[in-house]
Order: sequence, then C-alpha cells, then structure tokens
Amino acid sequence: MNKTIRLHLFSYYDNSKFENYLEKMAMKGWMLENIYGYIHIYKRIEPKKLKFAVKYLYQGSVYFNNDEEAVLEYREIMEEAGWNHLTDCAEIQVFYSENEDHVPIDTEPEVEYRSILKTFKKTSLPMTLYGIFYSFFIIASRISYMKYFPLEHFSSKYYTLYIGFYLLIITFCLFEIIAFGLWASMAKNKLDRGGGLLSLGPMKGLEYSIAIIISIALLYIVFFVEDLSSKILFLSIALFMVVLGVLFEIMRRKKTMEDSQSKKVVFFFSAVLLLLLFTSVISKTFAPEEKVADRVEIIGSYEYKIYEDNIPLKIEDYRELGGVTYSYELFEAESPIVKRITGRQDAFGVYGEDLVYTIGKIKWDFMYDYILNKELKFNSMGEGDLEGNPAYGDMKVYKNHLQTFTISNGNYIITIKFPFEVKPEELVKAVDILIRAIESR
Amino acid sequence: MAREKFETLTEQMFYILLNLKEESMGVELMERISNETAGRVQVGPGTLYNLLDEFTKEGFIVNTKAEGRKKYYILAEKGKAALKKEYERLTGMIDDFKDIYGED
Repeated sequence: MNKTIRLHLFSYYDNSKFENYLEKMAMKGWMLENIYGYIHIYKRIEPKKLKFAVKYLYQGSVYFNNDEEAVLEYREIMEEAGWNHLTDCAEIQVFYSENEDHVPIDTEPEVEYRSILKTFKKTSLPMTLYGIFYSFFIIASRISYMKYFPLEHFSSKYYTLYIGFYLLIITFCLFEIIAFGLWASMAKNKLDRGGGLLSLGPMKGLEYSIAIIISIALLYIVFFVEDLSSKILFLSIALFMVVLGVLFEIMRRKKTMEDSQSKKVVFFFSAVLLLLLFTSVISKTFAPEEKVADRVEIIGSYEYKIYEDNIPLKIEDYRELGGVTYSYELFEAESPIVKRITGRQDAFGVYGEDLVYTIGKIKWDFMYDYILNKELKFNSMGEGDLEGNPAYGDMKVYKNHLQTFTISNGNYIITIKFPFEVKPEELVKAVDILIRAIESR
Repeated sequence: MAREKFETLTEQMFYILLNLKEESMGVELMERISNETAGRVQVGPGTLYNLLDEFTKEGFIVNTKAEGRKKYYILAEKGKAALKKEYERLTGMIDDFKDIYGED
C-alpha cells in the first residue's frame, strides 16, 4: 500500500500540532501529498527525519481568486531559503526541509502573529460569518413559515431536526470565532510581555462543538425519546461510537494502526455499521407515514378511499349519523417541543359535513404563548374570546369562523371544527375526550 | 501596555531597513544580514516576506523594480526616520548605561 488517508481533526489553525504530526508521519515513512479540507492523503517514502512548516497565506484563498503570483512569490522566497514547497490547500501552505538546522520560516513572533490574524480576518472570518448569517436566515425563514400551522410544524421531528442542525452550525461558527478571538487576545498579551508566539492550541471550536453535539444528542435521547425501540437504537449508536473511540485509542497506543490489514478490517466494519445505523435513524425520522385505505367506494363519479382508523372523537358521540358514509383519518406526530394528534371524519358527497380537530401538547412552557398566539392569528376570523360562560371553567375558548373553535387549556392547544352548532357542554366534552386521548398515547 | 506597531524596531526590522539604504533584492537580505551579524541575527523567509509587505504599506520602503518574481526595494524617507528614531533610542540607552556605570 503506497497511499493512506488520514482525517485531520485538530483545529484548522493549530499549525504547531500539524507540523509535529507531519514529522511523526515522515519518521514512520509517510509523506503528506495532498490536502482536501479535513482529509489528508499521504504517500509512502523512506522513513526519515524532516522538518515541516505549515503557514497561512491569505492570497491563496478562493476569496482572493487564488492570487497565483503572490503565492508563487511567497514560495520562491521560501525555496531561496531552502524550504521546499510540499503541498497547499487554499491559504494553507506546507513546506519541508531535510536540514534540521535551517532558519525557521518565521523568526519574528509579532510578525507571524499579525500574519495569522490577517489571514483569519480575510479568509476564515468571512466564511464563518457567512455560515452564521446563512443559518440565521434559514432558521428565520422556517420560523416565519411555522406561524401558519404552528402545531403541525412544531410537532414535526423533521422541522425540529432541521432547525437544530442550523443551530449547531451557528454554535460551531461562534465557537471558532470566540476561540480565535481568545487566542488573539492571549497571544497579544504574551507578545507585549516580550514572550514568543502562543500556540494556537487553545482554539478548539471543532472539538467543543463535537462535545456539545454529543451532549445534546444524549440529553435528547434520555429525556425526549419516549419510544423504547428508538431509545435503544440511539443509545446503541452512542455506545458504538464510544467503543469505536476506545478501540482506536488502544490500537494507536499499541501501534497496531500501522498494520494495514487490521486497520482495513476495523474501518470496513465501522463504515458498514455506521451506514446501517445512519440509514435506520434517517428512515425512522424522515420516513413519510404511509396510509393504506381500508376500502375504496365509488359515489357518482368520485372514488373515495375509506380509512377506518379508530379516531377518539366522532360525530356519533353527539348526533345520529343517518345514512351518510364517512371516512376517518388520524395522524400522530411528536417532536421534543410538541406532541400532536390530528383527526378527521369526512362525509362523502356532503359539503361541510366534517369533523376536524387537532390537539397539541406543548412540552416547553415558554413556547406555549407563542404557538397559541400564532394559532389564534391564523384563525382570527370570528367572534374571538368567548368570555363569561361558567361551563368553560379555566379553559379559554375562542370562536373562529363558523363552528371552529380554538381552546387553550393547561398545556394543551386544541382546534375543533364541528359540522353542527355546538353547545358549551358539548365543547367541554370534546376537549375532555381529546385530552384523555393524547395522554393515553 | 500594548506596544504600537513599529513604535520600536526589533533587531530583524532594524537590519532589514539598514540594508535597504541601497536598492536591494528582497531575498538577498537574509544572507547579508546573517553575514553582517556573524549569524547572530537570522531573518526567516516568512518574516522577511511579511515585513517587506508591511514596510511597503507603511511607506518605510518602496518597491523599485521586479525581475520575474524577485522584487527590489529601497529605503524611503519615512523608513529612514524610523531607523534614526531607533538609533537614537539605542544610543540613549547606551548613554544612560555610561552615566551609571561609566565607560568601563
């Protein structure tokens, strides 16, 4: 095997750690060949002691349209001084020298500090800020869209994961900026006291973000995943990651990682298992609910699919159905924010003869008023707040258009559209049935 | 207290400016400074590249011509003033030393 791939998981600007790593790899007979972001390709060489230097040159970045002349001028000066250009990736420039006593590329800490700061400001900072603004834009547009069907959107795992993903991007970007800012401030203080350049080691945005992601995921699994099979699945992934980490650490310490056969076996099985777990998580989260009609009935020129789900609230709880045929549908959804049940009973061929309702249990108190206000705003046509009826007790009942009501009760928000004129005690009965239904599921 | 950029010159800055009294090619300076100081002051190529860029932007030196990618520089009036200021600071320190410890 003449090539190997390594993941470069330490901080982007931690050049001293990167240089030490390259030296160790060269001693083991591996020379860096190419950099593709976090993926680094190494080629086989005769093991030897080499000196490496990782530098940052903002003109190499795509933001400066890969200013080739400036980059080549920089490399030429390095080569005049005996430093050979090895490879590069955007602003990162990697050099090596076979002479250990060579004058280092940077001999003035203050000048090197200013150069790193300038590169960060001109390359990573705009990219990171772009990440933050883009994610804010996505979240804001999603939230503004949520105002139309808040119960539906907030109960969707897809939307909460979607927003969660962009929140993580913001967290990662902010950590990178804060960590770099802290390093810049500490490094400046050290330079002002006459010290050398502080290592970029403290910049740990990526590591902190991974730790936060894992913590959030574990908290989510422990507190919000109620379905036992999902809980077991998620916890096995977490356990698998920990076991894999320990396994790699043991192999690294025993230096068996250089044994390419055992490494290939571990990588192959890890990749297959990860792919399987990833697929099952994604399919469990995003798979659409597939509803199969119990039977099909043709009335006139229309073909009706009849679903006979056992819905908790029905028209027959209040009135005789007569000879009309109905179809029934029930949907359930749950996210860390909202648990929801939506049911409908539709009459075939009779316009307006339908019972439709949604009950949402809001799990986070601070979200309650926001969701309720959006629901009321969306259903604003009608008489509004029906105050003064003792039958409603502590419930707040708002009448929308026709016989559609929005009810606020405890941590529940309920909307019901009746196909007939409803009395207060009938409404209270419906609320009671729906609360019992959502609590029992 | 935070030190302003080029408020005082480091040895490497001082020798780069000093050696640009006559028009010189940037890359030649590394070896020349090392020889002048018997290896005491070594200027790394990255430091030289960045300092030549900063000095040019600050108006201390001017880029006179280029041969391929090799650029030539010469000291400007502002750079000469900075060099003189640093010289006075250093001689001031020497005088202070002499005042306290005498010539020996």
